[in-house]
Amino acid sequence: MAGLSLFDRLLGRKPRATASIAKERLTMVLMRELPEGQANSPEESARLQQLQEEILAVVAKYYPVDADAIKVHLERKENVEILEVNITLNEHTGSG
Amino acid sequence: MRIVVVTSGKGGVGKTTTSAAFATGLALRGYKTAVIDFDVGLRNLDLIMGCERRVVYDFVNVIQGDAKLHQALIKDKRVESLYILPASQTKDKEALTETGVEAVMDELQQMGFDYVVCDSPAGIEHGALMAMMFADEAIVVTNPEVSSVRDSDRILGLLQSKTRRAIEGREPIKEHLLITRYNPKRVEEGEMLSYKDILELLRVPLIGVIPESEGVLHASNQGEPVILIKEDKAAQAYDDVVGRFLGENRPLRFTTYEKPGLLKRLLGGG
Repeated sequence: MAGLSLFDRLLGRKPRATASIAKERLTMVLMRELPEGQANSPEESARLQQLQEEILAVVAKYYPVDADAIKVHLERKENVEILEVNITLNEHTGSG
Repeated sequence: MRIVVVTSGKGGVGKTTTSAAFATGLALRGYKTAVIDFDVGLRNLDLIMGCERRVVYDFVNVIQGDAKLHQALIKDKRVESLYILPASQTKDKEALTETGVEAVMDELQQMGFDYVVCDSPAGIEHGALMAMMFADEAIVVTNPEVSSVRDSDRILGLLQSKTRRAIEGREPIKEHLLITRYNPKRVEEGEMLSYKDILELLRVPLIGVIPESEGVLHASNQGEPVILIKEDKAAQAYDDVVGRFLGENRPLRFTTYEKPGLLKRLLGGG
């Protein structure tokens, strides 16, 4: 418990649990630092697949959609990343 | 002959300590092993191995043709079949040419070495690239700390793109993650990334977790590879690493924190 004074210890203060912050920050930077052209690495594909499933699950709560009605595409150019999500709703869903 | 690079990107995470312990562990099991210091200009492996007073010729002398490889290789005094090739202190890193390094590797192969352990310098510059260039396997040394994890991620990218195996499209380098300076108590308290967190972030098979230990400093003070200090927990963890590397099944040790009992606390232990 280095870094805590005797005073802190007497008051029963605990060091801040900062490991979870570290993990969260690393998850973000490591995702962003994937080099160009590696957008379809196995990790990236798995992540996009999961994103796709989650988005579809949310949309499906409001509109009937087919499981294959969604297309997610991530493009990376220099400093720009474009996430394209395309969902086709069922034909009978239209309000008319 | 298998070439293993010990690398990390970040400095001070335990590359040289690991190279020394790992090479010694392989030699202890009877494999003819050479450990090479690629940190030209900042040599330290000789100090960690305790042979600093026996350095006459170095890696750069061999590459530049000023000495023969067998003249520069230092035979370890403790462990049979262990040899050290020190770095130069005076030359700069550019002195390590790709063809020169390749020639040394070829000669080591002809001399009947089983393993060559390449102790990489920190950074992602020429010296680090030369250390990984001819590797068959890589031990990526990482501390449970944000900058180290990020740098390891960079190094993994280089292993997959800048090495001979990558360039020639051969089977990729076999990567191993080694976490050092691990403190289970701080992990338990949520102050330190757990080895599971790091594994999840870097997605490289784990070869071991070395606990933070006083033995490491004692060992380097005396110029003794830590693996030889048998009672030390870091030494035992390194021995497990060598075992796993050779295909043995060794469960992880020293990764969980056990609260000291009341008596131990009263006596000032733990």
